[in-house]
Amino acid sequence: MKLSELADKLGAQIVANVERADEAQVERFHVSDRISDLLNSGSDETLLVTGLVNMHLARVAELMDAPGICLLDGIAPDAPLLEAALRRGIVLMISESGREETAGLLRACLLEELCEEAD
Amino acid sequence: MKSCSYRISGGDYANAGAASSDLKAVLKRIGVEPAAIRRTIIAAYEAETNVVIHALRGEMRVTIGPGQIDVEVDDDGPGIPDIAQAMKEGFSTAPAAARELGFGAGMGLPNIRKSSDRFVLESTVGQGTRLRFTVHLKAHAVAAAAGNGMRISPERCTGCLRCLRVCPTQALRVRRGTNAPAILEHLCINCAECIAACASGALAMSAAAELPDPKGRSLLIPSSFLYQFGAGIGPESVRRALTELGFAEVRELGPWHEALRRATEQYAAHSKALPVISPACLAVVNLIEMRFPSLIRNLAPFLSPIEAACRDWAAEGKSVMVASCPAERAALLLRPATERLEADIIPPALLAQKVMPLVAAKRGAESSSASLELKNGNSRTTSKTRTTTRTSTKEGVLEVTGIRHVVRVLEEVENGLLPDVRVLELFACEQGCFGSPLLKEDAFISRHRARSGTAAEEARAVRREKPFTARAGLRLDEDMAKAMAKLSEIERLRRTLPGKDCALCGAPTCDALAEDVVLGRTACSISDCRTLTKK
Repeated sequence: MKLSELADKLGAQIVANVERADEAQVERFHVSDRISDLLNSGSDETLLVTGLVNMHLARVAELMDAPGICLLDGIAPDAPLLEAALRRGIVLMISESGREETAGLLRACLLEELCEEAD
Repeated sequence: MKSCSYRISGGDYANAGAASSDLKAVLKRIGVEPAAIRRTIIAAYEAETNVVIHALRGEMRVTIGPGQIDVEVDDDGPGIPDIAQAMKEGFSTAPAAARELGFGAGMGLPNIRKSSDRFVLESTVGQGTRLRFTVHLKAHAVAAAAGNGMRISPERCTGCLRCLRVCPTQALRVRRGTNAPAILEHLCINCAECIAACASGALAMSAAAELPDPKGRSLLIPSSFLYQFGAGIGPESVRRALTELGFAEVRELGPWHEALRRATEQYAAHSKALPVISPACLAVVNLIEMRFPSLIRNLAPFLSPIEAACRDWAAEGKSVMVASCPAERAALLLRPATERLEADIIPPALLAQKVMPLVAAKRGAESSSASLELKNGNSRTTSKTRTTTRTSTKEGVLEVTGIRHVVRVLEEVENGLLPDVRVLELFACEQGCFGSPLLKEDAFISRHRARSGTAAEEARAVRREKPFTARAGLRLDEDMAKAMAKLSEIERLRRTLPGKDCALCGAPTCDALAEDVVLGRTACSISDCRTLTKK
């Protein structure tokens, strides 16, 4: 699913690389507050979802080719993260809701898309 | 050969990962396969951040050779007093500052070990730590490390050479003097054809010899297992017997096959690479990765049914799995391994032995089971019934079973001769997994009985995280010029051989013998040819 579409459905605000959100596609997401987890699960089809807010997220996304990062609880990125995401072309979005709710919504959206493909 | 080295400054969090980023760019430029890049980068980033967190300074040196990537990371940090403890997941000595950033989860070293093929950690307290790891580029090296799930009992081999002739990838040799089959692991696709051909039992799937204690554990069986006990004993009796044995839960693979089938068809509706090939049979996947790499993009990106069924389920020591072929066993062993896993994978025959006495006593109790179950089947549409109707009515889905047919069909796909097929379901065994040589009942009969079976289990298709990758099994040499020289040498040698493919030399064909001699594979020479020596 396109990141822009996902952000819409999630009610998330895209704060970096809005223009890329229309081309970037994800098929799954991974929620964790541990860099190692995000590193292990990242791929070019994965949205990284995390309660962390620091520039290392952008580095991990870049290394694993992950197209986007979703922050939680409406917490805005600090300047270094924002700058790092912009520089590396990584779509950065902020979900107003918390971890469980965001994960639930993401799951529903991605599943819905799978089902639509089926019909 | 290319080398690069990077300085890493301890405590410089702002630049943590810079070396790994640069290394990734280098690997991409060289054209290293994506799977190897991924593994190298995960390990390199973990090693790099370890230096940043724990040391004052360090250095990462990388050597990229034709077959592998070697990485060495030295630091002058405090050293690791107890390496075994440091290797445990969750153990970390990272300061609070690092943890706040999401580091220090105690996953770093285990992650490096998981992502690499070779891992060496040396450390002296007060002096520093040296970590070396290697990632193999040759896919077959990885496959060999995983093992091919076969057990060879030389004392049983009668030297009949049947296995040589049936192996679809010519992976078997029976060298003179050894009188026992040997497997060229990088060519073996785990298809079980040799097990079917071996009358003496010299070739078998390696598996646990004893049934693990079933008390309180769950059991995963291929659906075919329920139909192994003759006409009088239906699936319900077998399920009951399994519960009597003590298993807390009995799960079946059938619905997972069905879920994969549906997902593959959905995927095919959007895929540009047609026909889409279902990854239902792991031996077929292995075959494609090795012999038909151009068709890897046609494989639907899902886990095979047994991998999907076990993914979130087979927790350590809690479950027992029946593998119906070496390919399934190898896939289960490749999962994040626990030491007990190997003992928890059992062959169907072992379980059948235990079930037999329990069901035999009740033979006949379900004598009209076929008709009874049909009624049940009507009220609750079953996965199996759906399977058959879907496959036979759905246009553009072609099911092919039996490895020889599969090879021919794949050749046609490669040559673009199957534009009228949308989805290909290929199975190495006749009649799909019902035809595994590890099962006793004839494939046609058990599959016929299964058509009226029921399974209420919920199943889904699971997307793969790791992409399918080509295996270099058939490549003669990494260097193309050398490979061509070897090829012409093989052809020259081949012309001196009689071309009867009698297999008496221990290689399946004259071509294979010529190749073995040129590539210097295990002690063999052109004089092994009986026809030549007779003259």
